[in-house]
Amino acid sequence: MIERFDDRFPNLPNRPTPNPIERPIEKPIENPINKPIERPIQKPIEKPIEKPIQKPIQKPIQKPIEKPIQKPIEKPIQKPIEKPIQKPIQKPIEKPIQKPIENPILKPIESPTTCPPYTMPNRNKPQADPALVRIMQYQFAIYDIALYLDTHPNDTRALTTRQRLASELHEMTMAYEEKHGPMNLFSHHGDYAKYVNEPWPWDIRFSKEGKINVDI
Amino acid sequence: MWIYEKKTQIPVKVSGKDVRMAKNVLEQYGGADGELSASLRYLTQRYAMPINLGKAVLTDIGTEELAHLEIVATLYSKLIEGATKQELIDAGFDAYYIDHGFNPFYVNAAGNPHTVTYIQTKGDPVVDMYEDMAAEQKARITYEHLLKMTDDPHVKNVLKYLREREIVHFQRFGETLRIINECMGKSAK
Repeated sequence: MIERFDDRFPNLPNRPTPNPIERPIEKPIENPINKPIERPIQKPIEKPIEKPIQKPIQKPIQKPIEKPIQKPIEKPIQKPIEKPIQKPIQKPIEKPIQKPIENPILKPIESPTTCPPYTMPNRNKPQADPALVRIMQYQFAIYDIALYLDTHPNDTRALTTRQRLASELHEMTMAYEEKHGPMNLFSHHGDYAKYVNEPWPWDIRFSKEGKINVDI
Repeated sequence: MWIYEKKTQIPVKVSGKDVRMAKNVLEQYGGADGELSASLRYLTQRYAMPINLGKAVLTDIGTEELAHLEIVATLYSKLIEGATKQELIDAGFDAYYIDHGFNPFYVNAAGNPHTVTYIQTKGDPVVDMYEDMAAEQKARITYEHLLKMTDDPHVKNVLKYLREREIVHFQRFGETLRIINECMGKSAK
């Protein structure tokens, strides 16, 4: 098997790798306008509508236990197994990159047998880490200097100050992200789950004392 | 807070100037279902969203819509670059030019100014998710209408990309709605 595969594709390593940016753009060319409409409309809309209607009627009469068990078992098992097995086997040779890109995006996440952590509107809002306030102050200082530099590009004192503050901010941000998760989607520091679950800006309480000043 | 990155989300190319299409593209800039409406809608819905997952979805999609707003503005700018007096008049775009020059402005393809009445938040996560899913569908079909109005393959590529993103956003909002329905009131495990 392996030898045949190599014989048939002697030039495999030399094939031009397709441009990662243009690929997702090419995909919709093949699809007629109607195709992707079917998927999104069916899944999210049907489920929330079906369940509230069925449950209150059937539950108290016959099957209080069966229904909630059947649905979460059937759907998450069938879909994730069929898709990854069928497509990589059928077309790994023709379009090796297109399929793995499309599937994880459009495939809905599994119906949650366990719910993700959430917070109700919190009256005891979590207190800000002083490091966060310090990062805010550094960012503002850099922002203000950057605006000044837009119209005074030759001010060497401002340039060196901006450079120093930016490198200090980078260190502080890395340390903060290791502790509290990434501050933006493209950071590679810290646990990504904390991006979602650490307090959001409007959930944070700031203490009135404890002012921290930035030396410039 | 937001930090600007000096690039568009995808490369924006056009084959040549097309004043008529530049005018049409403004529908997704300042139109009812355009990128500005979408971004403003999602970002202001975050404060009544009870689950963290929903806050992340609204924030991140609202931010991506701002990036799309920049793509549409770039597309417009490249399409109208170098337009002559006669071309502006032929495209029915001279009145717009008198008011805004060659800059994009928050109007729709028919020239009506953007208004915040295009969008809504009701302060309820389920209601807002339905609003958002409807908005994504309306934006998607608007891109399909735009796609029918041009033969420029480069412009089509950009429009197809943006249309595909509306579908992905619809999917994510649908999943968020389902999680809200199934998990609100249950403790996390």
